[in-house]
Order: sequence, then structure tokens, then C-alpha cells
Amino acid sequence: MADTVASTSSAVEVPAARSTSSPKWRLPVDGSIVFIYALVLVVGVGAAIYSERFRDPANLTNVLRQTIVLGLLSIGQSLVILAGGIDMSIALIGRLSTLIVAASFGGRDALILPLIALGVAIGALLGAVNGLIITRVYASPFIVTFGMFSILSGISLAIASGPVGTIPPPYLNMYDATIGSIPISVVVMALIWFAAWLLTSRTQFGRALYAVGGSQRVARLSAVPVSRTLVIAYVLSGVCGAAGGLFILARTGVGDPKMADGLEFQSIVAVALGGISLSGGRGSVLGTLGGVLLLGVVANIFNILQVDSFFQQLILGLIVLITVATYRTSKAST
Amino acid sequence: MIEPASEPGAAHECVLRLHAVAKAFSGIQALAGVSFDLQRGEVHALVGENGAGKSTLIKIVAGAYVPDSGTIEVDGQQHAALEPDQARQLGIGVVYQEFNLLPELSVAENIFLGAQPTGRFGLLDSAERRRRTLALLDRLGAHVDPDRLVKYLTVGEQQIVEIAKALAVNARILIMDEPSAVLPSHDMDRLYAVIRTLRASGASIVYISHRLEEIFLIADRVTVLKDGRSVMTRPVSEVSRTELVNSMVGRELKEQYPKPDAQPGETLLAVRNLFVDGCVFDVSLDVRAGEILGLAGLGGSGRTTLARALVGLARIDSGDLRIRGKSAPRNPAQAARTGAVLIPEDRKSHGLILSHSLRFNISLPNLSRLVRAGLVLLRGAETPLVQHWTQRLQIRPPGGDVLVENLSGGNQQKVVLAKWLAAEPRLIVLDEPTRGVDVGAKAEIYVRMRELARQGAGIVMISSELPELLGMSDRIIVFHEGRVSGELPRVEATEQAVMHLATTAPVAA
Repeated sequence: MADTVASTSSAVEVPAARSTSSPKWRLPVDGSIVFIYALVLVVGVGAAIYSERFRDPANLTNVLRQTIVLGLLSIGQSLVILAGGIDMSIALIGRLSTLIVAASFGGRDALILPLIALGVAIGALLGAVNGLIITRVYASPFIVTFGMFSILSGISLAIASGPVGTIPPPYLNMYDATIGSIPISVVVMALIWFAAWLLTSRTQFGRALYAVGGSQRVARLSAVPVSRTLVIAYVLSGVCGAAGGLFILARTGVGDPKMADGLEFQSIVAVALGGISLSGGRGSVLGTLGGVLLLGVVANIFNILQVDSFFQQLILGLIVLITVATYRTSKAST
Repeated sequence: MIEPASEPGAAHECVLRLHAVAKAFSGIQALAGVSFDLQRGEVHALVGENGAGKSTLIKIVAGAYVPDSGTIEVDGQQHAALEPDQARQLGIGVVYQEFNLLPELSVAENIFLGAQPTGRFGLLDSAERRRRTLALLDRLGAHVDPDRLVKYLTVGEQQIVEIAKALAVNARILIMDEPSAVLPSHDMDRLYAVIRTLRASGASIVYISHRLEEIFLIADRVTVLKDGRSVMTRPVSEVSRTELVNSMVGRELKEQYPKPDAQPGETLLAVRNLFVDGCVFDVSLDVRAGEILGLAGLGGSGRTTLARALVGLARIDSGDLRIRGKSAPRNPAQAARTGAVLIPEDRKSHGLILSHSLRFNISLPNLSRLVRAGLVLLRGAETPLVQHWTQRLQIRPPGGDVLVENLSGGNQQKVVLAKWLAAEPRLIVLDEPTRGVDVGAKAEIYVRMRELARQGAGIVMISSELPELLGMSDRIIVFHEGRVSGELPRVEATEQAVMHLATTAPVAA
């Protein structure tokens, strides 16, 4: 024993740097972001080669415009999921606030700005209710927001059983207006994505989101206002939901009591595809953008190829499972 | 220092022998040739600084890692590597620091989780399970109700369940990774008793610890690891504490505790007749700038509750608490604004967001100072702050983007210190600041504490390690069951005096 090379004069400085259990450390760039964009690229290029209709520039801008609604909801969903929560009511918040707005229009141009403000305010209010219940009662975010989902779908049915509202034509410009051949809405959405990235990665609130999602206890001890951060996240999620609904209204021109159906699940799927951990605290909204683009491209291809809805569901499910399995195994191996 | 293998006669049977085991991870040599042997019925202590290779060694023996070279010999059989199942079959059991118990299951269910005794028709035989559990616990000389749910057990009892779980699959070689680090001090004697019982029954134990005192108490031999090599193996009766420390650090650690040198200044903390959350009763104390106040007491004596109250984490029932003249903070954020921070005991669950970078963790409590126009200034403010503190506390590796979960324990603790010291607090409450930290990092933390006091901070230090408390504190206040049982100035503070006060109820005033 102890016949190994031993020397007391070795290294005066203690190289306590490495951890013996896992000496590798990961690059700051998350592999999942690279993966999701690679996937978007592969699917997109593949579709462009295969289908003439897909690679038509008009179709491509259309794909971008079609991702706006899901994009808005997915940004909101990203914020709450990063903070360790989930918002099952986000699509219904969009539906209810939009139905109220649609029903109040009566074709009056002058009401456009006030009613947009009203819609957003309703979204914020409902989000705040979610956030306050979750933080005050320490209730499970899934149950609370699912309860909200159920309540809001009931109220929506009470407000409208068929299409409602007369929308003034200028409102529809939100969807239709273009600069050259680029829809203004796409440009605005790009700015919103940038703002979302800035908000999550470079502001005090953004850091707080990650901290709260990582560990509420550590965050609280680290002087992070945990409850306030959570409430703001749900408020923003509500605002995103309302914004998504208002944009649907600009596309369809009528308050549809079935609108935004299932979008809460789609937004969660987009978030998961983008590599944000559903248990909170890690990932990036840039990944979510990748997830939204992937879903948008795939939906467009399905549409062009007239894929049977049975296969649509099947393929989507496979994409989700494969992607998430890839993330899990790559995480487990590091 | 190089010692020939000293086996007193062939009567001792070697159950485990590692020969020149090496292992590298992506170019970093975690183990550079470790030789180690374990006799039947021996407690063999394994010591070394964080990052010396102890965890890697355990994982190789447990079959979690495949060594790059060297051999593992179990009961005379040579292996190049072990599979986890194989290690278990060979009778190797590991009790990790983090327990692997299911809180909602009973003691007996946990112990036999992997190999449930079954009766006819393959149904679980809970009577048999209960009987075997009692037999196992009896063998350990411990008394835990087999039907109790694990979540209701104390940490010490949970540890015994972990040990029993290893024994349930016939472990004869038990590796214990810092078992005492998680225990409150009054549970340690029971752990030592269990270890002695096991040794007497012929089991062999590898005992990893940072507490040198206990090695002299329970180990037969000690092996020191340094930089992935075994640098010495000796019977503990032939080695002194100083020798042990020097060979771990590779240099002479002269003055372990820096001397107090500041004159106490203004009063930073004034506590009067404070009652907290049904755990702390009628406590009055002051902390002044430039001094280190030690809080002594047994586990559960109310020290941690008081510390939590200081930053607004525990409910104050009555009494007065003022920090720099301001009334008691309602939450840690408010406390931080008045300049008071709590550096918590459990760095993994209270101190750090492990899945995030050093940069993220250090700037978290300091963000308001790093923000301009709503945005965190990366190069302008955050990077310099992080660099300054990683350099000042010599955190390795120094890059700000390393994930904290990949740092060694000592460096993690330094990150916890850094994130709070960067806030330039005036009143610093440290709860067990050196738990699970190696000797080298400990000495560094002591120097920083003294430096902070000299710069005018008031420090409250909670520690279960009496030598450290005595060495660092200017004054010691002793707690007994939630009340102050006495105060000792530095010159009067001895282990005996502190323990006497810690175990006696205060005289009613």
C-alpha cells in the first residue's frame, strides 16, 4: 500500500477545480436549440425540394404569418413554464377576451384601440387571477389554470353560441397589411420574439424567472421576489393569450366561439420541442421559436399534401416523442 | 511518508484491493494511480480534499465507472472493472450522502425495495419482511419502527435505513460517503456505534470524511488521496492530525484560524426579548461591526430558526429585532436591502441553482446593481463582478459559464459566499459555512470571514464544529432548547464550557 508515487512537494496550489463525479461541463449553448433549428432546416429544405407549392415565397411568408398566433401563446407559455408553472388556460383567456371585444365592436372604427386595450387588460386580469391563486394558496399551477380553462370555456359559451360581432374593416389590417410583400404582422412578431428573448435573458425579471423555476427556495433566499415574479409571468401569459386571440379575430373577422381550440396544448408542445424543461428553470425562448417554426412548417406541408388528419396526428406525436427523447438522452449522457 | 504495506500477519484477510487504478474524464485525470486495500473487519478511512478523487474511486468500486487502467481485486478475484450488479453480488454496498429512500414508503418497504420477500403465489410477504427488517436493525443495534414511513424519520434514522438497505443485499464491504456530514451532532454517536457493531460482525467499511476528529475516533487505518493518487496509508494510531492535514493539502497549514484584530464598532444587530415561531424564546443579543459572534448549541436548539428570522424567513411572535436601526425584515429581499444576508447551511438545496452557471448564481442577488435601462449589462457590469469574485475567492475553474453542479463541494460553497459577498452586506449570517468543505477551502473561508469583519461587517456564525467556533468567534452565545443559556467571551470559551452550557437549561432570570 502507499507504494504509489507520493510527493509532498507537489503542487502547492490546490487544484480543487474539477469535480470528480462529473468533470465535464457543458457548453453554455444548449444543444437542444441547435437540434430544433437543425430539424426545422431539414424539414423545411426537404419540403422545399419536394414541393413546388411549399417553396413559393408567397407560401413561405404565409407560413410565417400562420405561426404568429401559436408564437404569441408559446411566448406566454414559455414564461410560465420557465418559472416552473404551466398555463392551461392561455387559449381560453384568448378566446374569452376576444369574444368580449368582438361582441362590443358593433362595426365602429373608433373603438379599435380602446377595445384592443380592453382585450389585453382582460387577458392581464385573468392571468393575474391565475398567478394570485397559485402564489397565495400554493396550489398546483396545472389544476388552477385548468380550473380557469373550464370556467372560461363556460363563460365563452354563455356569451356566444355562434359567430358574434361586427368587426370594422380597418381592424383586419392587423392581419392583412404588408410592406412590399412582407406582412407587417410578421415584422412586428419578429420584434416581439426579440423582445421576449431580451426579457428572459437580459432583464432582472428574466433572471428571476429562471431562478424561481430552478428552485423557489434558493430564489427566495437570493432576494428574488418569488410571488411577484410568478404573478407577472401569469399576467404576461394572459396578455399573450389575449394578443393571440385578437390576432385570430383580425384573420377571421368574426368572434368565433370555437376559436383557439387546443392551442394551449400546441403551445406546450412548442415549448417542449424548443427544449425548455417542463419542470422549469432551463431552456430558452429561442428554442420555443424553433418549436413554433417546426410546427408551422409541418402544418403547412400537411395542408399542401392534403395529409389525412389521422396521419397528421400520428406524425406530430412521433416528432414530439423523438425530439423529447433526444433531449432526455443527451442530457442523461452529459 | 511512504509506508510499506503493513499487514500484521496473514491472519487478516484482504477483502478488497485496488491496484494502480486510474481514470480520466475528457482529459482530466481524476485518478492517477490509486492503490488501496481493505481488510476484513476493518474501518478504513479515506480522506482528501474536494476533487482529490474520492467520489470517482467509490464509483469505480460500486461499478458505476470503468477504470482506464489498474485492477480491482475482491476476495482474491481480479477484475478490470465491475458492473453495478456484479459489485452488489460481490457484497459491495454504498451509502451515499444523498439518500435513495422513498419517503412515502415504510422503513421495511424501503429496505427490501429491490428484493421483496415473497410468499406463495408471488405475493409480498410483509410479515417476513418485517421480521427480517427487525433482524437487520437489531444487527445494527438500532431501534427504528419497521412500519414507520421514512418521511417521518430523522436524518440519522434515515441513514440507518440506508445502511440496513445495503446490508439487506448481503453487503460485506460497506462504503460510506461522508456519512457524518448530514447528521446533527447528537446523532453521530449512534452512527459510530453502528459502525463499531458492523465491524465487530466482520464487515469491512470504507469511511470517507472531512472531519478528522472522527477518523481518530472510529477508523483503524487511514488513506490520504491527493490529486488522484494515494499518498499515504497508515494505522490511525501512528499518525497525527497535523501529519494528516499536511499530506492532504500538500503543504503546511500553519495558522488555521486568523486572529481577531478589529475593534467592534457600531451596533448592527440588536435583538431584544425575541420569540420566533415557537422555537426561539426570549433571546436578546447584539452584533457589532467588526466582530464575529458564534452561536453554539446542539441541533434543534433554535440557532437556525433565529438565523432565518434575521432575514425574514421565520415568523417573529414577539420581541424586537433591529438591523442597523431598521425594524425586522419581512423577507430576504428586504433584508438584503438593509444589508443583512443569510448564507444558508445546505448549499445544494438552499444556496445555489445547480443547473445554472456560476455567472447566473453570483449575479442573482445582485441584479439590481447590474441593470441599466432595464437590461443586465453583461460586459459592463456582470462579467467584471463575476470575475472579481471568482478571483478573490479563487473559485476553480474560473470561467463564469461553468454550471455550478459540475463544481466540487468546496468551490460550490465559495460560489455561495461570492454571491452574497458581492452584495457587500453589513450583517452576514453564516450557517455551517464549512460543512462538507475540505481543509484547504476551510482555511480560505476563515481568512475571508476575518477579512470581512476587519472591513466592518458584523458576522454571526453558526457551527456544529466546536473547534472552528472557538477558533473564529470573538464571543460565543450558547443556545439550549431555544433559549440563551450563556455567553462566553473568546478568552473563556473552551469546548467544556460551551458543551456545559449547551446541555444545561438556563437559570430563570
